[in-house]
Amino acid sequence: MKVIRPNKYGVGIALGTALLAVAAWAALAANPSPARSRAAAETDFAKLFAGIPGGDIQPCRALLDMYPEFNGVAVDPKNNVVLFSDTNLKSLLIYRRTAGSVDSPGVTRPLAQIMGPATYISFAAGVALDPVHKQIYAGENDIGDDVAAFPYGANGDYAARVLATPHEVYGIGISQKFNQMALAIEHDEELIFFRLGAHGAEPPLREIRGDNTGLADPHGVYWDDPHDEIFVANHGNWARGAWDPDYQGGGHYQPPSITVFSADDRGNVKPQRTIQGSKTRMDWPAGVSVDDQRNEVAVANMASNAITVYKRTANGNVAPIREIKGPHTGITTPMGVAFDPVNHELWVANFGHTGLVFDSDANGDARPKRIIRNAPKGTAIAGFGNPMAMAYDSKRDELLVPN
Amino acid sequence: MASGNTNPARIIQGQKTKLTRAAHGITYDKARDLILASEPLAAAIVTFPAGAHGEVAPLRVLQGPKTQLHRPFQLEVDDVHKELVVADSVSSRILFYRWDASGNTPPLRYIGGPKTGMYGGVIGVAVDPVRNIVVGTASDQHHRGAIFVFDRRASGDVAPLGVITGPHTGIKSLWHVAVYNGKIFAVAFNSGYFPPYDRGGFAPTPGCTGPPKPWLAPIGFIGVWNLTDKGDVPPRAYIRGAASDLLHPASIALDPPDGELFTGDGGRNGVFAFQVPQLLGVPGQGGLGSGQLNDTWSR
Repeated sequence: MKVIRPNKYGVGIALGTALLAVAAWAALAANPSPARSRAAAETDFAKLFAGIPGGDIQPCRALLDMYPEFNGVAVDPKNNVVLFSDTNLKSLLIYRRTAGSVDSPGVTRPLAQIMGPATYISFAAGVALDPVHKQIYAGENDIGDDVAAFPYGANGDYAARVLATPHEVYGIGISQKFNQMALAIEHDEELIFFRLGAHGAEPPLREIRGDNTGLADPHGVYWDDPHDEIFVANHGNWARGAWDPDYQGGGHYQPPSITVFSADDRGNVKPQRTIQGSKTRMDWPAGVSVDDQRNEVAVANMASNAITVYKRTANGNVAPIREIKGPHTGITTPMGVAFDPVNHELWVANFGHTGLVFDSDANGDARPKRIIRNAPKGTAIAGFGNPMAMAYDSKRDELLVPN
Repeated sequence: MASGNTNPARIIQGQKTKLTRAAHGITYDKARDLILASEPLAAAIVTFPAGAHGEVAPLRVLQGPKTQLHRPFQLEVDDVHKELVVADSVSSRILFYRWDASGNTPPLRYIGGPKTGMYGGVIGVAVDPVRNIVVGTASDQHHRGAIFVFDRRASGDVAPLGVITGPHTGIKSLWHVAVYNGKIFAVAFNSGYFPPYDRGGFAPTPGCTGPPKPWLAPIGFIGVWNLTDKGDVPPRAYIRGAASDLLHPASIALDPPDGELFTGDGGRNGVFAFQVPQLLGVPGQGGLGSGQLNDTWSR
């Protein structure tokens, strides 16, 4: 992986700087624990299936993306790092905050890539950074039911401090003031709260859930400490029966929304504000972020390839004050968004091979200031997100794969 | 079929489609050229024209209290009897509807209850309309993955015709299933997953000390049994191992005329095609790699 331009002195300086950055990141963490081994848990299938036809047959074709695919994003301007979750290779990628270039088609060199059995990373979606305690948090959206935490400096197969959670964590918001983290649980339609630093089977502190909350397939979460508010992006799908076998009321669809709660809310409470309606232009809102200095909230709309920005205090069926969208933006299936109020920048994680950096006040078909690439420019994106279902269309000779 | 890393030919997505994440069921209705997908986060089944593209509204949405849908997973259309068959992972039922059921419509019948032996939610379902058999994958009372075989015409709390489960099957947990030519193609996911939280996500389960370890489970496989197989019996053929590139396969689709079997793997996050005409009763070559397939089906 090279981010270096072919210049005699530039190569030396850039390489040296990159190596120093990697070394500085690594120095923050203790040595990682040994990786766990699948072989230790493998049963003796060779004896069990001896003599049975078949076995270790090679596939005749394989559809795989060999590069990471970004999902969530978090930025720490205090320590100048940015974090992306990768649902394809099941990893977390950490970069210098100033990394990336609009001109380079090559792969951006990360400071670290956390990946392997000891990390518990299996399908990380939402991520968060704690700049005070220098901690990384990643929520598992499938396969695993946990939040994995790492110290700054972690790399490779680093043993996570792991917390058991309900199934299908998406967004994570953290609060220094409350010393808590809020997790959005998609199919339970809830926000669940834990102590920062919680691990093992430590029980939750509280939850926000119920018919009054307006939570419906909640995704991204942002905890706005200065204003004591929590913002949640909702796709609008609702089905209590998905977890309650006694519930006979069926499911329903409601419009996508941003619901805003007071930071100390609990139980079946109405949100303080709800941004919802046709004027909002939301379309599968995934990530959400607040700039508490500009008083704005940004939403990553994965289906419309757009970032919509509203006033932080917006309520009801309101149009965005800005919308970043268009062919020059490079925004494609954006899953994550993060404001950097210190450097006046806005980060976007595309579900695929690019992270984009815009000025905080970017609008329309704006070009990004920097691009972080986890694959060479032009690399195809298979776009799988756990292909747990499939059908074959014999008429068109096509495979149908929901994600 | 494409190979390597490639962009999809078409994408159906967006708010209007009523698709949700965690859509663990999709089927192609060949007779009517339709796509049906289960939406567990909305307790719904949505139907599209098979050539649909972009942000399009579904032709039909099956949803509402009368449907008895809780968390639908695999589904299949029975062309012969014109029925839609759905596995429900929360109610532990196999539900049968008219193939074109829409709105708040009740099922024609269902198979579910203690006598069925299906616990822990039905994940996979497949129909053999000629032999009048329906197959479901679920957990038995010992939390082991099991293949349940029923008379397709059964209704209510009925005993299965047969159950395939036990240590000699190699099955820890199952995901989807297909039936073809008198054979069951079951996908043993084998991830070792066990939820650390109670249903509804209120609190950790008693005795829980932490989350499941996703990387320590044995590798999964695709196993083939006869529809008449019962008990703790190994598969009659299987695909598993390093050369197969499979880690935790989950989904399955068959293309019998071309002798191909497709599977999506959640652990590898990819889709794999295997040339196995012998398994599908198609003359031709197959059995690449170290394993060799033959037509020995007798025990």
